[in-house]
Amino acid sequence: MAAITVGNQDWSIVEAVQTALSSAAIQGASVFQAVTVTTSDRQAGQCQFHTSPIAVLRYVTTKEDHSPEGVRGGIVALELILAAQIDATGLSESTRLREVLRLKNAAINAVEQAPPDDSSAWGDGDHYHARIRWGPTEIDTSVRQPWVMCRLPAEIGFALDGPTSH
Amino acid sequence: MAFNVYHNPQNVTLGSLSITGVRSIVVSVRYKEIHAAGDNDTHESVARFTTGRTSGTITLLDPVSADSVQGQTGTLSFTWQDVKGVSDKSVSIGDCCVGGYDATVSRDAASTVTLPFVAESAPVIT
Repeated sequence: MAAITVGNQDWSIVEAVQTALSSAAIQGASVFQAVTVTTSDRQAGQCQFHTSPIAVLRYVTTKEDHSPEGVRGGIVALELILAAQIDATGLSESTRLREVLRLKNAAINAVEQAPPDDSSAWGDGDHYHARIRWGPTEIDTSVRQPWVMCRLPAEIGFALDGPTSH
Repeated sequence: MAFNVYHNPQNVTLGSLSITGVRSIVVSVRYKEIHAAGDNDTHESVARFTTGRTSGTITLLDPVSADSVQGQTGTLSFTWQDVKGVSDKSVSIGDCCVGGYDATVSRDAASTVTLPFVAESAPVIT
């Protein structure tokens, strides 16, 4: 039986992003009251949220490209789902949007300030990915009132030394 | 990993002048060649590189920065970032002269400038 080792970098990246979001604080106050990890888009969408604001970190997939000498450049695709309860009376749509954008930007700053140790940019002339790349934001301030929702795609890059370095 | 990959030229300077908004730097080192063959040779019996020449181009976004360094001479230096952040490299090219530029500032598009340079030294990578 061949002995192997497992680095499990894609999990380490998910865990590091979760830690960065959990640790995010503005003037000593946590930005998110809870940060959970899921894989199911339906589960994340149907969650009955209790505390506010929260972040749900959805693992989407891991993709790899082959580089010279067996090196693999990869990305971990994630989706950050941010939800906040904004139920004060008389709040305008723009006020709700301002708050959810503030949370979205706080999440980005938190991850950019503490990027996963296993993450890196990578390229080999044929393809290139940044260490962290944020996708287009989807925001819904009205369907689930008083909750506002934000979906923020993210790709975290990494590189593996070889085919048995996963 | 047996090799390194670099990206993002940083801290580009010519002497004491900063070159800002740099997108890419091409460094070319070429050598003159001599070739010779005797009457009965079926292949060249002499094929050598002799003196080297360093030249290149810097492509940047900032036409004002380009204008400030064109015509200047000094040591061109910049950093190549290691993509994994482990070991960035510094490149230094002494006696480098930047002459002229091609600047494009166009409608609904970012400005770009290409600065050509020649140098009396080979690049030193540390």
